[in-house]
Amino acid sequence: MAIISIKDLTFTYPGNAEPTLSNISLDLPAGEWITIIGPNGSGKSTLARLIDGLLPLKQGQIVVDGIKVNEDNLHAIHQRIGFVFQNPDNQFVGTTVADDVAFGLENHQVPHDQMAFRIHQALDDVDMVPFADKEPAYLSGGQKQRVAIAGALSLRPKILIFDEATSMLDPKGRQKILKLLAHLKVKKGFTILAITHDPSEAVLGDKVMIIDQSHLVAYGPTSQIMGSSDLLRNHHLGLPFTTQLKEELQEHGLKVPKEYQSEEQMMTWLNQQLSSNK
Amino acid sequence: MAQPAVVFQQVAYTYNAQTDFSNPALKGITASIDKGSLTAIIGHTGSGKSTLTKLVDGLLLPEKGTIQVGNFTLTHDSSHEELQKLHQQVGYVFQFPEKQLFSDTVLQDVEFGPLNLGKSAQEAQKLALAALETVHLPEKFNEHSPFELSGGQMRRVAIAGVLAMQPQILIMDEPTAGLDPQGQTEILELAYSLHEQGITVILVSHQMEQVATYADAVLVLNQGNLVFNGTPRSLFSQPELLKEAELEPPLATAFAQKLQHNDWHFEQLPLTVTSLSQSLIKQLQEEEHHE
Amino acid sequence: MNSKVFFGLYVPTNSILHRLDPRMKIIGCFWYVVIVFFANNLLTNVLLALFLLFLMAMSRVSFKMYWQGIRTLMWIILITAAVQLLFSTGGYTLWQWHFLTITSLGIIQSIYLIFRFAFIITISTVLTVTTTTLQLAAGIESLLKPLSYLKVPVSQLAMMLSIALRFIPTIMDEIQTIMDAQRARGMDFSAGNLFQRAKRLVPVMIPLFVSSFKRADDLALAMEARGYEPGAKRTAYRRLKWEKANNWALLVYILLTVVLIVLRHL
Repeated sequence: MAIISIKDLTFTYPGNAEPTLSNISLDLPAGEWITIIGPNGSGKSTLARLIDGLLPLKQGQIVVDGIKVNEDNLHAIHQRIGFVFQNPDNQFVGTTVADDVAFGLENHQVPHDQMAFRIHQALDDVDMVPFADKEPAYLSGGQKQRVAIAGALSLRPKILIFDEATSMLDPKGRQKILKLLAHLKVKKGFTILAITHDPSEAVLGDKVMIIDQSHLVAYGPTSQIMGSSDLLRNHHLGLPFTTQLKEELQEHGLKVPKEYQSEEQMMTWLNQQLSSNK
Repeated sequence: MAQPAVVFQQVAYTYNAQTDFSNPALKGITASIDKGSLTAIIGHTGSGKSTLTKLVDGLLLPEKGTIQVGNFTLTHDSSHEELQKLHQQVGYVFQFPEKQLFSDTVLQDVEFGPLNLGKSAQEAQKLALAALETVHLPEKFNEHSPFELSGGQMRRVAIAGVLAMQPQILIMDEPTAGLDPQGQTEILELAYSLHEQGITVILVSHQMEQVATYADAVLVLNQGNLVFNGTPRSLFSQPELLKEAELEPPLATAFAQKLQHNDWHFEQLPLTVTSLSQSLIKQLQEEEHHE
Repeated sequence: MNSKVFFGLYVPTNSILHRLDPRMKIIGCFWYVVIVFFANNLLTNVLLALFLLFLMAMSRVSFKMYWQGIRTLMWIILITAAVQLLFSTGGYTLWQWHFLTITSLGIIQSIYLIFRFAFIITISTVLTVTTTTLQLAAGIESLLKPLSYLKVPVSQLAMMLSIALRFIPTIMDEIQTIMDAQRARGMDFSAGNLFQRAKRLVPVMIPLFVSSFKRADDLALAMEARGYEPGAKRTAYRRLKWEKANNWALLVYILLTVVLIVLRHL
């Protein structure tokens, strides 16, 4: 069943001549991890914001979990979607970690006697309980993003949107967040919508969509999209490591599998090639 | 032996020294950076990378030790005038450098540096135009406000602003952060071409692929100590050292290491996908010839 | 965190003062400042000094911290005292030059003035070193609550205050980075006259404004995504609880005031 359903969506920012998104129609299944890739300025973030009702929708329709996204339903939409933005500093509202998680609960009028428990639970999910009383100045970028995720989780959403949420982190911080996402998806059944530039991050999800110059140009299973070096290169996107390797081997005349290969699959395939040559 | 561009001698630096909040960032670094090299400085967050590069440009003064940059020797009591002159030799591209733009037009912003160095308006303009060409910014943007440009273009303007000062040493602190893959490649190619022109480029990076592809030397910092100084090749063949510094080898190297457990042999561990694939093809063909 | 250390920064020693209700501490600080102006003789000033020393000792924060607070504002104190000294009249005239006079009363008054300044700075420091910015904001919000009956948007003001406090360290770091970047581009902040120096703020202020607007934009979006609506009803995570110790603190203040009034008339 589709948890997000988009129909005939076109969006133009006021004052712009060209639309930022043109004629997008798409159904996103519940419980999957869907990655959006595309060059800077292609309209990825705009799409994510429209889904969360953060921009006014004028042409087309978006339905999230059975609720139409419009002015009247914003509260319900915000409760169903947890949104984590790119810059760790610019979304940290509270003066301490616990207060920041509490911010969303206060907005949604969660009674005071439930707050401590829900804050603790959310911080526990992201492994940040020991930092509950810390101020943001003492946290790394990755830790701040984990707090942002806790803030989203505390509202018990169904969908998590990550708008380049790992792009300002160092490799260690990024790895930790990505592991956390995989864990949340499996354990709690969240639908995850993640925007990224990093091909190694894009291969982690179930499905990938490519947006380029306001159009949805490809949408399909990760194995299909991330394995195609031609498709990715046509849209100026980065190639995952194994796809790069496949491309180079192919240039040397080797017949390589068409689908995306994980490192393990690639290794198995290479070993087969070696033994069949013997 | 190549001539050194920068020499660190027992350099130590502590933030908020002599207070309850003191925080040692560098603990006695001795190293040198070759003239004309493209040297990467790597280490996880908080390892002291930015502190080290700020010391090279005199934005911080060492608490202990000396830093030799060209003809300058920086110590804890270096004079203000000396530091001012040092900025002519060293260019510093900060992380997210587009944040430092402020002028009405792109051209004026790039002229800011040369004018500060006392160049005439004419000279400054000439240098600015040349720098904007180096970063491949289309000329039509010269009279635009820098704030009208895209993120990637703003970054190139900011880099031009540093290049217009004609530095002999160029520090770039994570210059590709936040850019899309194409924008990242453009900036790295730019850094490489500057290095080929003889400028010493110091690249702070978190991405080992960048280090493996572009750098000819690496300094690795870990908790304020220098734990490695040598070539990328030698660094990435030392897994224990990488692990200790909490760094990962490039994907191609890690992949080759795993393949070694399965009948594949690498005389030299590949650092890039291209060298990995070449080595794989060679081994596959050799097996065929054995028949 | 590489920002400079400021005087008046919260010092977590968890003393009795730390645990007092922020409303008590704010009122106490305010009240002390008021009665400082009622101290008119040696005895009353000694009383206030002793009381302050008592608070400083209770706070378990080193006296060095407090001294830093006074030292930072030393010039303002000394200049004001000098003006008081040279322009006041009364008592014996000890020295005169044109319209400047030094009189015995002037000397006494400027000494009291120095004390007043020191008292006010120190009591404020006692408040800030023992109270987190968070508690301060909560205390102020609670104290201003009655104003909401007059249609003053107290909770929105409190939200603004707490966000401002939250972003002070971030913005300080940002200013440092921008200044470093412009210094690296050859800008010399220290050379030249006052006008030239003021002009040099442009390359710092414009980037700071640009990034602050961007930050405000991002923050507004993030707050909206998390369900914040200005003026809408919200529940509160932090609740202030008036515990017994605060009654004792209140009593101490009343006693102090009574003794001060008595001593004034001696």
